[in-house]
Amino acid sequence: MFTKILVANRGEIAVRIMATLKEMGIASVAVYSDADRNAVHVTVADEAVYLGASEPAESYLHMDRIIEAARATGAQAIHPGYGFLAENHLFAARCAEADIVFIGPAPETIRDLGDKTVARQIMVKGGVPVIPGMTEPETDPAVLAAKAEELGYPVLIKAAAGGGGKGMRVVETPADLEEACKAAASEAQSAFGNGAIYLEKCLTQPRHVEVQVMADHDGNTIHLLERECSIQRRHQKIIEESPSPALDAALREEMGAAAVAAARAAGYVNAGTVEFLLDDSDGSFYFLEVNTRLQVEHPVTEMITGIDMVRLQVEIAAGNPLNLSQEQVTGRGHAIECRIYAEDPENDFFPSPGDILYLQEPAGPGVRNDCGVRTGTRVPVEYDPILSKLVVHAETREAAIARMLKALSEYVVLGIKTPIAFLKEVLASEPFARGATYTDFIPVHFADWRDQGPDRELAAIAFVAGEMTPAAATGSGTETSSGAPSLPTPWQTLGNWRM
Amino acid sequence: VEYHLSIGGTPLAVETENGGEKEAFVVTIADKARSVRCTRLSPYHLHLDIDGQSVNAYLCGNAGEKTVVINGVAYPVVDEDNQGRSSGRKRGGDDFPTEITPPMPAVVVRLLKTTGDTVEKGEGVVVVSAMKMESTIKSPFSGTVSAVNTAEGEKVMPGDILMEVAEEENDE
Repeated sequence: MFTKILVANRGEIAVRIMATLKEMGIASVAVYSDADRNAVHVTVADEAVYLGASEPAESYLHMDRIIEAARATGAQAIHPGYGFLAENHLFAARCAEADIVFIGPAPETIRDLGDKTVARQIMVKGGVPVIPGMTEPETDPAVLAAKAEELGYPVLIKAAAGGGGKGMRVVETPADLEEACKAAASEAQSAFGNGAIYLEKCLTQPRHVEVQVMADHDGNTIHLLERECSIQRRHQKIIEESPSPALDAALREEMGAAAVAAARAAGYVNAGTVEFLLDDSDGSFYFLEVNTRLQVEHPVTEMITGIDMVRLQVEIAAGNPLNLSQEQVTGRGHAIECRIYAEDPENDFFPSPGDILYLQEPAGPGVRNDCGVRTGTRVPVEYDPILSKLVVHAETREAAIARMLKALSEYVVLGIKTPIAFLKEVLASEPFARGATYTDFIPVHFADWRDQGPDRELAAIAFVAGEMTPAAATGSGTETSSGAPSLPTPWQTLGNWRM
Repeated sequence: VEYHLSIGGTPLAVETENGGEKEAFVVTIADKARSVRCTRLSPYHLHLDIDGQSVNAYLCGNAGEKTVVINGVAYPVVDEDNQGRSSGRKRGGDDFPTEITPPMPAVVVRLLKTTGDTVEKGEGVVVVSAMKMESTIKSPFSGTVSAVNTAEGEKVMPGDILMEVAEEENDE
């Protein structure tokens, strides 16, 4: 087993990976950029190596520096997390050349599955159903326009190297196609260094259901049940749950088997996610893509299966066999995850970076918050604005919704905008309660959402109460010892005074 | 004391009276009086007892403008009588911003319009990228582009006017 692992990532996922490493008795190495000098992942790691300037290309995407950091610290393996270099086959190959274990599938697997058109071809050969669409990337606007006509509008533009909604666009009419293709290609170019795009038929009301797979080097391939991830904005998931309200035991088994077949067709090793679009009117499902990495929403699977997926990833990367059979994997209860981003739900979920003045994380039975920030963290402009993933687990879906609503109500992030109030309304909504979670959920039910704020009068009272009980004199900021003679008024010296 | 507050753009008149004790007072909103007891637990955290109901409120901001968080909901509260400090920044309007400026530090990816082009209200004029996400800034009104003050690839900040649009007459 490894004794030291470098985590080539930042934020909540780096912190989460390091938690498991600590439990396994494996030392962790963090890497960081200028913007992240005092970041949580740097302070919880056993050691940390500076990479460079804040721009991802100078830090978290800089392969040479990351490999050098692993060499210099004696780390035997690199965990890439998600995003950044996690699905970069060149990086996985570079690790292998440097005799460092890349915790993930083989470089060729990442390359093949990372190119979504190649992935489609593999799945077609493996007998896995795919969505109608192009099998090769295309740049010529005339060809794209002709293909779009053939598929029929609406069509979906996707980045061949894509993931996480980057470079993805729905196009409703031919007039919008060209500009949308340009925007998608340029976004794909900056996000993945590859501007290739292709078109797919856009299903009218699909669900996004994905299956977690896990495979070892000995050819043991199992799945860890499904996740329903239909609630999305900007084509990026914001609420995920497991089990999916749309699956019965038979469909679960069918999709699980398809995911395992997909993993086998690709010669997959380590943790991966096979994403499907599900048409729940007839139970038909189509292969969407394989994410060749740990998924953002992996905690919902961990909560219902009781399996630490990072631990399994590390075990598999170390060459150990899966000590788990398909029959041993069972789900218990229901788990829901809400992604807490620094973003403004009233302004098209545009990122809202800035300083976190105060952070209070929710807690309590069945509540887990994978968090990469703290009070005082400056949320940088340069990276994905995820702050944390709030996950709850309860006996039933109904109980999990109630638990999530309670946890969201306790969550306080001052200084930047978050979607907490928005998420509360989604969770409390009637269509969510009945499990009508389709990928168009937010545009259909929450378009142009405005925070109506049920407790305006309470907020007004709190405002005036704040004026009447001023905080400690400016400068000191925090805790002042009570009874200090220098304090200007008795308001501050009374502390928790009560009747 | 009388306060003229505005919460998310909706005005709210609030009157306070001393309740006879140091941390207790009476708050009247729309003729309804409530007795309030307040304990400051930290610079950002107030515990309130409002007619016997326990409320945790979290506040940040300045005297004129604060964000108040209660039960996970953030309320932007503005004190209309105390606007000196907030330097006239636009507030409360839920409509389009009136200027073509990025909502956060960003990089200009594409200019969709150039000087002399006519634009419709709500039409995209500039594409910016921030935090790996592209977003289109829309024109606040119909008119003609009178100046372009930026170029593709430029780093821009909120407040930078990227494009000026001469408003069309007889517009709503």
